[in-house]
Amino acid sequence: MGDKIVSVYWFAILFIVAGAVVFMVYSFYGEPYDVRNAEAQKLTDRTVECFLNGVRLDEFFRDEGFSDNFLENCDLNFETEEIYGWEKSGQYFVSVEISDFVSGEEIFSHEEGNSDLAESCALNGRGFPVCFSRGVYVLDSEGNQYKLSILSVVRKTEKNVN
Amino acid sequence: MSTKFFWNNKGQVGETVTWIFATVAIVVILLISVFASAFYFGGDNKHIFGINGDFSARISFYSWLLTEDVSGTSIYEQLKTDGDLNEFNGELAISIFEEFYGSDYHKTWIGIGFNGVGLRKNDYFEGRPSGGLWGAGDSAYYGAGEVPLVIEKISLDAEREVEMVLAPSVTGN
Repeated sequence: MGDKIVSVYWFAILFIVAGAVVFMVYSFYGEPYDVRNAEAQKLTDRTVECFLNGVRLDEFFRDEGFSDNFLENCDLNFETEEIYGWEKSGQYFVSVEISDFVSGEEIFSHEEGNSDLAESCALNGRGFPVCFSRGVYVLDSEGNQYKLSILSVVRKTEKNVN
Repeated sequence: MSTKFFWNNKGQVGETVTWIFATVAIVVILLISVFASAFYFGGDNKHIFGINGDFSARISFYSWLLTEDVSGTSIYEQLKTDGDLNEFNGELAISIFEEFYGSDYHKTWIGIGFNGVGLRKNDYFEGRPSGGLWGAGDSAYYGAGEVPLVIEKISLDAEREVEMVLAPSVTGN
């Protein structure tokens, strides 16, 4: 009689251990990796790179039509998968501002993508788009000092957050 | 239920009772393991900022070194001659690195190193972040593991180098 009860407990323990292993694996690997921060960081880096010639500020942003073909000029692609209705509302936003480092006077500014996303930058929470802003100190070919400010926003919440 | 089920008359605890306590112990240990590991590794699978370097900060660092004072001497040349930050380049470094990256990193540091040995304090950024609070050597330890510091070095001569060191934010930004 005692042995029979013990074997029932053995089975119970077996199921508990198996359940715990499944729970642990699910909690570590079941949640999607949130790569939006890395994506926004990369978008910022590529945008900064677009305005540079080596480490100096490239003056080609002053050319007429530069802003109109910003994505093409900077070799960026804001297209997304045709899923969750992403193709209808943009999932990316980037804003660029170049100002004089000493006086703070704005010399150039441009926005590209879904500007509504930038409004959520003040909000905290995993369900909101990820914002990444950076300032870069740059010199032009004559040694003039500038501040390059970039704000990148990536939404894609459905694939990165449960 | 008969008391003989739990207790026999041989002065021993019955096998069933032993297994009940064993089961409880195993369940408790499992629960502790699961919750401790979940807490330690965290549920947030977020990219840790700074782990692959910082392109923007690197460009700022190079631009800072190329900046010239009124006499036309670059900061790189000034550091080579003076051997330390002066008022012009120190104040400029503060206004760039503290203002632009101060909120993204736990600590920012610009200064002169001597082949990685005898790194010293300067009047603008104090001590270089390594060891102690920020970890050992050129790494920092935050909860789930080790995060390398973002380091950029430019050689001044055979013995000295100017360094930018950024200690990643604890929150991973």
